[in-house]
Amino acid sequence: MAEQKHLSDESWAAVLSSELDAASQAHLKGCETCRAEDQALKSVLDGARESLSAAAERSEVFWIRQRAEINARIREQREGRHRLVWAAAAGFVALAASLLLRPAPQRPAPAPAVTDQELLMQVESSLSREVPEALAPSDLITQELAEASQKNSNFRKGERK
Amino acid sequence: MAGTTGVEHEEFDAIVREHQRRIYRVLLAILRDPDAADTLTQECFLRAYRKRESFRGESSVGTWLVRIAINLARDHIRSRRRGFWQTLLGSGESVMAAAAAVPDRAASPERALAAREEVAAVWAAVEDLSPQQREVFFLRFSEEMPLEEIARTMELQTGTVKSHLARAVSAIRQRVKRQGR
Repeated sequence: MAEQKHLSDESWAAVLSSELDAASQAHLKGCETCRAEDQALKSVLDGARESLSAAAERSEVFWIRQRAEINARIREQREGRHRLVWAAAAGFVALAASLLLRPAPQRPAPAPAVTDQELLMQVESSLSREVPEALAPSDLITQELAEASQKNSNFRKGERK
Repeated sequence: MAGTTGVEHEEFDAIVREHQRRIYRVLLAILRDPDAADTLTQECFLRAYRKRESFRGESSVGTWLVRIAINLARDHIRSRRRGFWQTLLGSGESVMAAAAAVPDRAASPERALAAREEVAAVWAAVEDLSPQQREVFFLRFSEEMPLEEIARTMELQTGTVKSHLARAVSAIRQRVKRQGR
């Protein structure tokens, strides 16, 4: 039953984080078992911290080399970015130059302008024609047929005489 | 931390100088691999340099860097999970090597040996924790970060940090007690 009164895991986490509440602090003060465990745990955790620090200890040369590598990689990255910007700029300039220096496309020659006067004359001429311009070929055929018919008629008259 | 002028580059170099040991230590604690810790320390500062525009100063530079380091370590563990677990499972020697580095504070060789074994028991217990519990444990007991800062660094609620810590402490207490029997 006395076991239940000892500090919980949460309280132990608080003890080791130095964030213990008043009640747990009072318990720790009066409980020899918990006090002994507190000392043992703190000692073990101190040892673990020290062992990790020792494992992470490196010579000054290591840190200098690491900084040099970081700086070199940053420089590389910056130069890479500059190279990219320059490449993009060069590409843009080349594109602009090719657009500017390309020979202008040849435009079709404009249709000859017709003055108002000429247009009026064309209309007048069309109106004065007996047959519209579009029907001129048929008019020619009709005339030829009429002439042939006339000749034929004259020939018959000559035979009768 | 903004811009790329020479002065700011020097400023960044000073940041590297100030924090590189801590970042390396955090990465070594999580990864237990000196080469990976070295590579990821470099990567951490490189990433910080690339993202320096996004640093708003809401937390300290140290907290910001530790957050980047933890994310890198998680990615590393995810990408090499099998290798990582093999390292963990076969890490008895490295644990003992770390434990052997404990300064001899004990009066007798027997006590020194017992202290080494206790420290080894702590590492063994830590290795059984979940990655998040392990990270919380290292940030609290190795880096001595306040709980609120750990919460900010790991983007967790303070209550969650406390429960991770309680779980870690419970595992360590049990392991140390077993060791003492």
